[in-house]
Amino acid sequence: MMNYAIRRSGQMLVTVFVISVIAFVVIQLPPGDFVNSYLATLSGGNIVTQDAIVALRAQFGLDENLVVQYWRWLTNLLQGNMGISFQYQRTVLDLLAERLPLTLAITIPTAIFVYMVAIPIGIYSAVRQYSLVDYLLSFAGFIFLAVPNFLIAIIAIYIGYRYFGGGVGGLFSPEYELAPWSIGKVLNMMQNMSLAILIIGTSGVAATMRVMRGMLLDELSQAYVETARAKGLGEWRLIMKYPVRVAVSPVLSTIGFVLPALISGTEITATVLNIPTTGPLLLNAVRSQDMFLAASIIFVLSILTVIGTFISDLLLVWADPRIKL
Amino acid sequence: MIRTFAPTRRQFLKLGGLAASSIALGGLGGRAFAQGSQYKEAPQLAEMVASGTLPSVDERLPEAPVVVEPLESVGTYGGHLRTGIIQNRGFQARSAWGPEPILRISRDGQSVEPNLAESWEYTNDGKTFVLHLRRGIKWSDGASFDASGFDFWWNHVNLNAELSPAPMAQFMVQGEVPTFEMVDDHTVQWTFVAPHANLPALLAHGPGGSIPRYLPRHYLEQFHADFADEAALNGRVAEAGFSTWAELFNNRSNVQWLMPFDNPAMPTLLPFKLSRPMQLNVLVADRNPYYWKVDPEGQQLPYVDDIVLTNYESGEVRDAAIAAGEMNWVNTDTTFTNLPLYREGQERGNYSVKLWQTDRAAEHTIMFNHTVKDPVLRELYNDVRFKRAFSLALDRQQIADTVYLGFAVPSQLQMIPGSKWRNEEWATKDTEYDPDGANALLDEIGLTNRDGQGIRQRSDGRPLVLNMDIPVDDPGSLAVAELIIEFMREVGITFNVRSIAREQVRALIDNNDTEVGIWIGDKCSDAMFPHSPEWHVPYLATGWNVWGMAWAQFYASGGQQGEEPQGDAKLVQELFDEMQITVDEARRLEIGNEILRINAENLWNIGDVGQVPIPVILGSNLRNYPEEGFTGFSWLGNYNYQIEQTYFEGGAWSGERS
Repeated sequence: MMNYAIRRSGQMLVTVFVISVIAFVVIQLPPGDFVNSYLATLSGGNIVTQDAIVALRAQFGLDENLVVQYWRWLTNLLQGNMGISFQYQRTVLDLLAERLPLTLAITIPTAIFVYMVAIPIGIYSAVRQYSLVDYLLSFAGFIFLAVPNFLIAIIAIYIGYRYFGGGVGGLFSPEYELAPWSIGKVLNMMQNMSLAILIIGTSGVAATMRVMRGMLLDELSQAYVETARAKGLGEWRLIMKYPVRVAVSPVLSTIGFVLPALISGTEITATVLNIPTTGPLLLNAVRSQDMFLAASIIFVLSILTVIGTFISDLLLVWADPRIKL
Repeated sequence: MIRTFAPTRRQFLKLGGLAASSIALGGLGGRAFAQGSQYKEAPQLAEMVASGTLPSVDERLPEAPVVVEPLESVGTYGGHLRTGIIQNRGFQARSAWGPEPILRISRDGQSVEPNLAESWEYTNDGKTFVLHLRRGIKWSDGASFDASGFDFWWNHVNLNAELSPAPMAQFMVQGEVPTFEMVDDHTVQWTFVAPHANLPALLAHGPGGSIPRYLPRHYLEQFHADFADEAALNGRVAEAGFSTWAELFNNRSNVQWLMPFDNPAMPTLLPFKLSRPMQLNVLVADRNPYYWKVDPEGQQLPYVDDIVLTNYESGEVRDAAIAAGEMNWVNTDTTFTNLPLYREGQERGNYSVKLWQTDRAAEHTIMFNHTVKDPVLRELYNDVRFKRAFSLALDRQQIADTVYLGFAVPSQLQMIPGSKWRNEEWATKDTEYDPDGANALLDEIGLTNRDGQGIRQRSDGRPLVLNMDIPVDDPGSLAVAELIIEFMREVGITFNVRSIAREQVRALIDNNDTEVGIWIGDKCSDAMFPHSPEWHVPYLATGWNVWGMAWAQFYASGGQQGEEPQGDAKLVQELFDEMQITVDEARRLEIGNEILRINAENLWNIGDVGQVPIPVILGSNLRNYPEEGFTGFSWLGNYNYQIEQTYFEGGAWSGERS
């Protein structure tokens, strides 16, 4: 076990390094650089001379080649310095510290929500295959799988505006925005956040539910199930103890992807719902080629991914003893 | 409009203020002093004075505070001004907290008035520009505002290579940096190689609004290598997580949209000062207790308590929030096409939608890149018959009706109505819809060969395709571009529209890689055109002007880069050179007319429709804004209406939820 953890850690380091290179290079691929987008934000009345443009590139260190820029970023990163965001004139660390807690506060409950809802539903609709409830759940599942999250968010905002009067996106309703912390404010925030969790979680629930149902149906027709049944094991106990443990493997093995997917895949939804997670920050950073900010966010997300994958591997071993390390 | 309020207070001081003020300085007798005062202050500030945490209003105000005449009526204190910006682009937020430029644009937008400086003059045959600063103004932390700040900005920021990549271009005449002199505590002057005729207008616009960022030297010196103790400064840099002192300095003095955005400790001269930086998408700016303007009854301004600014990650959500009644002040980056939505929410949302005019002579200017790299296209784009054909092929009435709900008239990119350079003939030249005329012109140029689908072929036999890059976040441009595709098909031209991120459009333009460009036809006002004729003269090495990018780069780099312009393009650059050093108003009028005449002849810009109003969202009981006003970049939004004198009738917005 220990050996395995050490070996995996080594692989994880290599993976993270490769991702950091790719992240840094990909951000630079579109034409232009941050100076172009910086100039785009200064509109007329601000005459910028050719000398100033050259000097700006030098100031931001954009006149050097990519390898030098990358090396500088990486060595600073190893010393805990993620560089500064050109756009905000603030340290990247500062910006992440502001947004990462909220991001986690939304994604972790979303992950829990997805599994808590999807696995029981998946089990139920597999065991009661072709029942009315199975049809209904499958129908709903397909709809939520097919409709993008952000569209659901837009519809939710429209319904909120049209029928409940106000509350368009954001973490707090206007009446609580400036109020000091109180029970009402916390409840208000949880209310807004739970809507976000619900919306962001829908496609995850739908997908996981379908996988769980399909896997379990395969297992239920296996001979060992019949044998156990013949030996007189209680139906629910039987199902939970044997086929479910096998069927849950593919679900567990994707936990590693769920974490970053929830964080990065919710950019558009968070943008629409106006929730200040790292998603919109990353989106803007990539658009304006604010490279240290963008690269650092991607770097942090990739670390989360490899950690998530590691956890899912450990869980797999725990759930399915057939898997050897 | 602005007069001074001096004598009575001086008398008051003579009568018995001496003893009182010495007590007040000790922080004890502020209240007693305020009771005898002719000035009034907001209740929140009076409380702070009573508790001894703030000096009395008399001590905070200058001896002769600026008296602002309200637009309609004297106001009452109170209320939150609520506004929203999109993706941290706060263009419109600028006029929410002032701004307070060194000079200011008058309310009617036609002239320049005193502000932080009480007067200015040209001496030394016009080559020296002298600025006399107002006395007794205090920063929001109570420190005095004087000329030493200008010395700091000029010598230690503007001329410091670590902080400024290059000296501010707006202060250069004929490419030369002027000499600066601080004459006394309230007088500064610059001596140029030739008269800097546009300087007053610039000091009332962007440069004049952003320079004050560097004026609070009493605060900024601690972050500057020329002044701070080296070890202490290095400590501060490391502690804040930066690697150079310049990064720290820029962070501490960071101003976005003319407001200190991140650092509440940064002193300001605006009516509002930052109290909560942008956190979880919300920023709050409170009343500046040292604000130096009063109303005619002696009430210290501003009337409104604070500004609550929310950042929205998408424009559509911001607009939905407007309709849901979450805002009472949005006025520059609204979308005309969303007018029905704004109108629908009016009553329930406790706001009203006003339609104001803008500084856009045409909603859009469509520009063919005359310095495009493809030689065949370049020849075509430089042929004025081709551009006339394009212009005649546009059914502008259809654009006005379908995109702008009929609130528009066909127009070229000339100047806005009311400008002294407005010329009706040039503004409507080649704007009639005449597809037959367009076809005839295209045939005349020699574009007579057509392929199987009826598409005209270029002189090298390839199909004639016009490629336009358009920023994805302007729904108006996209709607117009879609119509143009149809109009061009009628005359046998394939018109391609590529919709990409704004930043990337900009990178393509800067590299002279754009073939056809489109942008909002703003800045066509008297306040802006003389110093920033962005569309009519190719002089910006970076910008949205597509039509002569290589020529502009040649101009901006002094011949180092780009291509040398010939003929009319060179002529307008020379006229612009002359405009910059010509103080005489009659000659300036002539120069402007000449530039615009050459433009009308060459059709470098092709306008679509003009006089489209912009929806302005104002709280139902927000007073002292005009019913029919104007707003746009030319006036940095509409700061000429002076946010400090607007107020909520009854002391709070009627739509406030509690």
